Amino acid sequence: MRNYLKHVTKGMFVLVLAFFFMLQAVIQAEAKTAVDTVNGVTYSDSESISVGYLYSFFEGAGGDALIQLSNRGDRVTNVKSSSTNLLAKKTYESYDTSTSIDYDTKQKTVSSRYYTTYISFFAKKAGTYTVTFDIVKQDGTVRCTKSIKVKASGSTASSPIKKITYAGKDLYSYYPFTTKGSGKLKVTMKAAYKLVSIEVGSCNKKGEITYKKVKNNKKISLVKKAVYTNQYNYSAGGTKYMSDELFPTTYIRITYQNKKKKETGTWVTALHTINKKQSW
Amino acid sequence: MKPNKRVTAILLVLIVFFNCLHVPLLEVQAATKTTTYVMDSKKGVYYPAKVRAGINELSNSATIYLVNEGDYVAAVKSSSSDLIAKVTGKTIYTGDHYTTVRLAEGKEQKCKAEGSITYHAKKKGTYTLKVTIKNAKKKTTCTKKIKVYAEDYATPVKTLKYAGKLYNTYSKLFTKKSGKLQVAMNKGFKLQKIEVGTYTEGVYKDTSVEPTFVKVKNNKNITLAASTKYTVDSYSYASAYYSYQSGRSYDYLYPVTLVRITYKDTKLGVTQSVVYELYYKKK
Repeated sequence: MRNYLKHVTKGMFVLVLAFFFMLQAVIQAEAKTAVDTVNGVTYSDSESISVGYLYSFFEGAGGDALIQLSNRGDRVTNVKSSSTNLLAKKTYESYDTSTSIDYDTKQKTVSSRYYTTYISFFAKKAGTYTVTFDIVKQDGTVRCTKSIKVKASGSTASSPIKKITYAGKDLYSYYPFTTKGSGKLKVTMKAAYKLVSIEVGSCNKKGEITYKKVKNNKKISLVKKAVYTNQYNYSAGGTKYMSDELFPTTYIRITYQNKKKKETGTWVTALHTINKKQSW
Repeated sequence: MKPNKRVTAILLVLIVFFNCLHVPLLEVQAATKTTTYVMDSKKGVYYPAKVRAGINELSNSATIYLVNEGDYVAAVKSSSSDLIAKVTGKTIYTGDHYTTVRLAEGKEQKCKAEGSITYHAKKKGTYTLKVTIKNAKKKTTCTKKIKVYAEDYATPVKTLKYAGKLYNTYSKLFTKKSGKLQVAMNKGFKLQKIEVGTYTEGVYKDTSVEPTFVKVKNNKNITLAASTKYTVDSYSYASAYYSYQSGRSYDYLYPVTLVRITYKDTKLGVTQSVVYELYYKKK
């Protein structure tokens, strides 16, 4: 599930809310995992991040790619970004090293394992970038080179959207939630941007968001009930989660293109309905 | 010989008098309250007695922990139509699994289930949520009351400024090596102390990395950290012919300086801290 930031201010709160509502991009943290059993690498080969957002210092907070190596002695090195607009750096590495000394020859044998590595990203501009890294063996030779596709979207400087209306009113007037279950969704882009597509998304029973394309200025129906269950089972026990939201969310994802620079980006916003009824 | 009644009476008075005078040798300071969570050991319910809500914030949630297997948060009722509430989450730990909560006295309690309540305040005010806990047989074991204080805001820090630039989640990069740190709190939150934390370059021989915090005064100059690297050796072993070491190394994009703000929430009666990350970018 995606998080998004909330700003609530006194007095001028509606206006400020409208401003922030339009400006905000959902901090995306999508990733795809690639498994290479031959070379013993499991890594995220695709990441989506928000432009200009500096993800937290602590690993696992997003904006980074996880790489796991299974061969002893292998290590991630030579991280390179395809553009100066995307910073990429190896920021975390966990390791273990064992040194044994032969009783007779007194020869030292060092064996290291770098099992978990994170590469962090920071995008200065929107776009799709390629980050490459080498996996070198203990003897220094390159075992393989891998690449990660990093998509940075959403500008913190300005929204590409001029206006979004739902059921005849500006989207922010339905914050925090709306009682209108369906209505026409109309997107007007700023002059410098072209609307590529509009998609409406909802969570499936497992809590994963799935999107469906819709036409501009057409009626959409909002999610009215959001109930999910999930469970994790282990040999000695497990955990079961059940969720029944008070504010079921309908995501609206707009893909746009900058007419001059031809860069594409996505902008995600949401509408909430209210569901006070308890399903269990 | 019969004891003298008068002497006995005086003796009794004296004994009572000295017992009343009994003052502990050491004045024991009451432990600082950091959470509104209370533990009902008899019923096995660990819940927050008081919570805050920002009006018109999309949602706020409170988690209730249940010790006994089979117990669950069945229902929630609000004292007003201006505070909407619903039981929105259920977590059940099966088999050997459980979650642990740290109690105020430093003890730990294993819990077999959790229930979460989402609430939304439309207007400022003080409300009560009545929560019903049921057992596996669907019988009510107890009801708990949670007091909700709804204000315009729910966050303690109103603004954080460094070298004249306002901090916000989208703007954490600062180009000035040193500058004035200014903290303004929202009403109902009393600033107690500000500390600046940095990770120093080098090797830490510990299983967890802790930054070094130094107390600073509000509206005074601070200097941001410059290093991005440090290593944590979580385990090491050495003998004559064999040594082993495991650890983690960090080298972040930009050096991070932590600003830890400790405050007293006067409504909730708790002392808490919030940490902000300021990143330094060489111009």
